[in-house]
Amino acid sequence: MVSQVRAQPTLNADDLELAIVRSVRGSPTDLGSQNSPEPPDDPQSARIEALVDLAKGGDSEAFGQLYDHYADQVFRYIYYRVGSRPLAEDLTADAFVRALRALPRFTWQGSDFGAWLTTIARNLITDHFKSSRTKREFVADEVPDSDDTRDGPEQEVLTNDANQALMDALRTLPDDQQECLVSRFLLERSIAETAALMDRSPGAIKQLQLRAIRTLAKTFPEGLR
Amino acid sequence: MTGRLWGDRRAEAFQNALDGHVGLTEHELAEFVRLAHALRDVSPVSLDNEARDSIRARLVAEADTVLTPSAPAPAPRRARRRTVRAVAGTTAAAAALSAGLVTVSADALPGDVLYPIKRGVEQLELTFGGDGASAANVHLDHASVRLDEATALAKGGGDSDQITNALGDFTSDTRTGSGQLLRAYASNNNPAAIDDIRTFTRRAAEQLRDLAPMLGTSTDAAFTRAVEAVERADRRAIDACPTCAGGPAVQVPYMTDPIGHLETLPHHGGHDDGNGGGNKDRGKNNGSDDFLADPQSIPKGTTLPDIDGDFQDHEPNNDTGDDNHGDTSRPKLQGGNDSDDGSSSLDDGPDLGDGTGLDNGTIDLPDLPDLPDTDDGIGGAIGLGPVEAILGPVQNLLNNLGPLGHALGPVLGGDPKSGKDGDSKGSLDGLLDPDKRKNRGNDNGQSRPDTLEPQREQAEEATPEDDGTDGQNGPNNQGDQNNQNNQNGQNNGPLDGLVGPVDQTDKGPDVGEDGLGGLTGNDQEGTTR
Repeated sequence: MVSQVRAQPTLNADDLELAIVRSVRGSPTDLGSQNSPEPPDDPQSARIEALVDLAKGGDSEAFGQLYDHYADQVFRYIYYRVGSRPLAEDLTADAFVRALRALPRFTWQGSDFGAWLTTIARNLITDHFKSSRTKREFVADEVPDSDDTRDGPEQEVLTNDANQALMDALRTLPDDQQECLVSRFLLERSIAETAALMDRSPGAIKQLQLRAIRTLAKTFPEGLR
Repeated sequence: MTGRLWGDRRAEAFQNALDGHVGLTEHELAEFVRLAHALRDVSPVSLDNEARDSIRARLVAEADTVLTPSAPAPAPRRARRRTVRAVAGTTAAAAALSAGLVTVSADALPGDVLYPIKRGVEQLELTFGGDGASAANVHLDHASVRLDEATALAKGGGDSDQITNALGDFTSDTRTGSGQLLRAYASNNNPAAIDDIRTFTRRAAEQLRDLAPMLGTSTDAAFTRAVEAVERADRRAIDACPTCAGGPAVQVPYMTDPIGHLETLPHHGGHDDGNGGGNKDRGKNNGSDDFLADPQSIPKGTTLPDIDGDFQDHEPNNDTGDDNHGDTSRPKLQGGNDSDDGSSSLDDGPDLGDGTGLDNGTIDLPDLPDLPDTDDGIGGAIGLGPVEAILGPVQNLLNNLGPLGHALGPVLGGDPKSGKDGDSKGSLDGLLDPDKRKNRGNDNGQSRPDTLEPQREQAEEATPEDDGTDGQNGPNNQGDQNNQNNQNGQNNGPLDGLVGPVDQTDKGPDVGEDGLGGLTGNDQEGTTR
């Protein structure tokens, strides 16, 4: 720790991104693309496209399958933002309902369906926070989500102290920083995907990412150990 | 000390953050990378299954409502029906899933508070039923549940409308499920699909047999359709795989209450169908046409086909009336024949006779010449095989009709249509034709336009029994017909004579119908789907 005092700020946000990407994959490609929900041009995306077309044509089951495919992504995104499972479930349902109603107007304009869904979810979260600022604070500060304890093994891992503390710390960050970190690391989206989602430039996302991590590091020094 | 350092750094970082231009040291970089990994290592959360399912159910239900309008969906009717049910049931089911009401609702009967939840849960089952054979079996399971409900309702003196609805849903689920299984079998030759159908039909036939005595006349039409659907599914399964085990074709002696049926039957022509638009059609043909048609048809080629045709007519109409149209229409047609399969052949036989008149009306006479093609006859024969199984019940029906037939006799004789048709055929033909035409049109359409179905039909038709069947049927039919015919009486003689010619003509019409068939074929396809 002490050594930090002598460090000179010679590196920038790009370096951080590069370092992160390298540390993850050993190659300087997009971090997110590795696990990104929808790598372009693969059979999966062709399937999604077909499902969207079917759903637009009135096939409700096709929409159900789209839901099956994206439910966890959307839920995860919302959950990491709101920190409450019941609320996240509600908002997830709302997001899909909105998507359903907007589906006839959905077009493949440079964004994949998952990104579109996430954008809808994002707007919902924003609305939710707006409509209940107080509650939002409450939710954000609400630490351990008791609901997690009733979840399966997967969630139980999350409830381990380290994870929980980290998530708690994350939720104390400013909204945009939270969102950036959630997208980049919890959802493993690429810089480009995160930029599209947050409607910012990739460069701005890199800066935001750096600020966010720095803030988190200060808020949650244990995470550095 | 650490705290102090962190405090300093925090201030510095804050400043940097404000600047928006942040530099960092290598040490920080390493720390941040580690932190990023810590975030990445957080185990992903996911929806628990309960929430996932309930949200899905709600979405699919809503999708039916939201998406259908803009959708030139293949089977809009079916979608609509599903929507109604889904909206009412699925939403409730979603709520119920978490409330633990699902198990409680399992025994709910129509009219019960929890019944919509039960149906909603079924909707979920369908939603998660997968594809192909598994989804088909879900349909058959639901059909069984409907039959259980109908039985429970009947035992408890339940509302006849509810019984009718339960039977109607049983019928459509039976058709859908068995149709899907037949398709599955056609694509993979897995005899399990056939076995599934026949297991279902055997059980359903037993239940229907037990149920029959408990039903009043107001449910006759629905019951008849249910029986027909079961027998048809069974027959089609046998036809699809004659070598598959499963025992003899099922029969449901549903005429347990001859008196009631007799009374009802006349109505059937009109009333039963009355449910759907089909009746109207029938009305055109003549309420009695159905009956007449049957007798006539029987004498002509094969009695059975006619019968089937009659049933079909009823069914189709009913179906049409129902949302099922898409689905049912096809099945009905087929079913009617016992139908589809046989129907092509069967239909041809009887249809020709009947259809002839109609066909003639629609189709140019020139077509008739084409008819002479024996193909129709052959086809009819093929179809007959399956029909035989059904003959038992049919005969019963005919016997029951006997009295009605007498009553109808005059009507038949006086049929105006016959006059119309009269051109080529007897009055009977005229009468028969209208209905038959419809059926036929569909059948033909299916078989010819559709490649798949035609194949199926052919396969079914191909059954060796055909010729023999015809012969057999002939006698049976005649016997039955005799009853009816006698009633109708006069017509029979002439009709029989006509039959030969008629058949030919019929064939002709069939050919001509092909064009029509195309239209119908589409419908059927939709339905089948």
